[in-house]
Amino acid sequence: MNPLNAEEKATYEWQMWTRGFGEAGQVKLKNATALVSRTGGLGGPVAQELAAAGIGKLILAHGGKVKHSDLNRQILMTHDWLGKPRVECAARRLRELNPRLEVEAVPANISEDNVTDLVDRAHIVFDCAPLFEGRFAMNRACVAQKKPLIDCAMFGLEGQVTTILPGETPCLQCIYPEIPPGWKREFPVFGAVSCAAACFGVMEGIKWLSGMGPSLAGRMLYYDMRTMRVRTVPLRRRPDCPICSAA
Amino acid sequence: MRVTVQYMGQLGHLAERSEESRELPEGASLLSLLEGLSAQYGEAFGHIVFTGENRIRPSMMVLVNDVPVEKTTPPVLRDGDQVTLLAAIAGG
Repeated sequence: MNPLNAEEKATYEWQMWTRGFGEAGQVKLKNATALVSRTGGLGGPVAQELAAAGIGKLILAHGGKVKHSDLNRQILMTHDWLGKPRVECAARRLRELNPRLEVEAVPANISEDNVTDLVDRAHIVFDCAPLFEGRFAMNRACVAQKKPLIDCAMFGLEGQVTTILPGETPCLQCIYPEIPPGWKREFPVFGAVSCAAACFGVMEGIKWLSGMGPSLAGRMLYYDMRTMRVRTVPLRRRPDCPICSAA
Repeated sequence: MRVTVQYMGQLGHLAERSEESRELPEGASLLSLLEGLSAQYGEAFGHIVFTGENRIRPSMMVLVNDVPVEKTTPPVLRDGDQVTLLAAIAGG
């Protein structure tokens, strides 16, 4: 593993004081690659927090161009980039934040066509896609390649996060065997609600990468910012799950 | 008897509430509670909760007192139970 240089030691000094993390955890983070599906309301803050924390490489996958309706929550997008590719805007902002970060900007959303290759090149995957088709594709690829999947989602004032460890925990299709009816591409969203799910997810990922251990394996954290109720829900593997029962 | 129902995801949006207390006859089942809620809150709500065969959808998470229920054999409810309905979400 590549060790930390003097600049990195100075930059990450305060987080290396965290019990159980230390310089050894920071080195693991520096040598890690994360795939982040989309760089919107969830994926944007996921990528930002991973970049700030010192992850070595980010692979960002997001198609489309910046629109006005992105700007209430997609914190890596800027007004001056309206009409230009989202993923390039995100990569530009992340390089400003952390010039040591290697960023690969893929101008396409996760699909069956690209998911196997993208997951193959990452140590960990952050699922921040707005449609179940993309989420299921990542789940299948992560189970097949035995890669951890941090699944983050939100709706309205609510959010949820779980950590999927293939072979150990329920996979996404144990939790949702089918594409749920009635889910629409557009949904009510405040940026702060998305950002909270992103931050919970990032810490799960950092804990897994650094060896501190994820705590949401087999559990789903659920929060409601309307009532400020936070809970964790136990999850079960489905013995007949077509995706992970053989894993 | 009275039970508390908590709504999460789109169900809270459709029911326009996060939580409510419901009066039920003694020995009422989870299934009858869900049928009553679906009748009250409309077709979209019912479509998220039930399949066309009136079974609880596999993609729905249903907890009674924080314990996931087996959806193929929904339990009888008791006074004071807390029922949580989590509809799947994927927003980003």
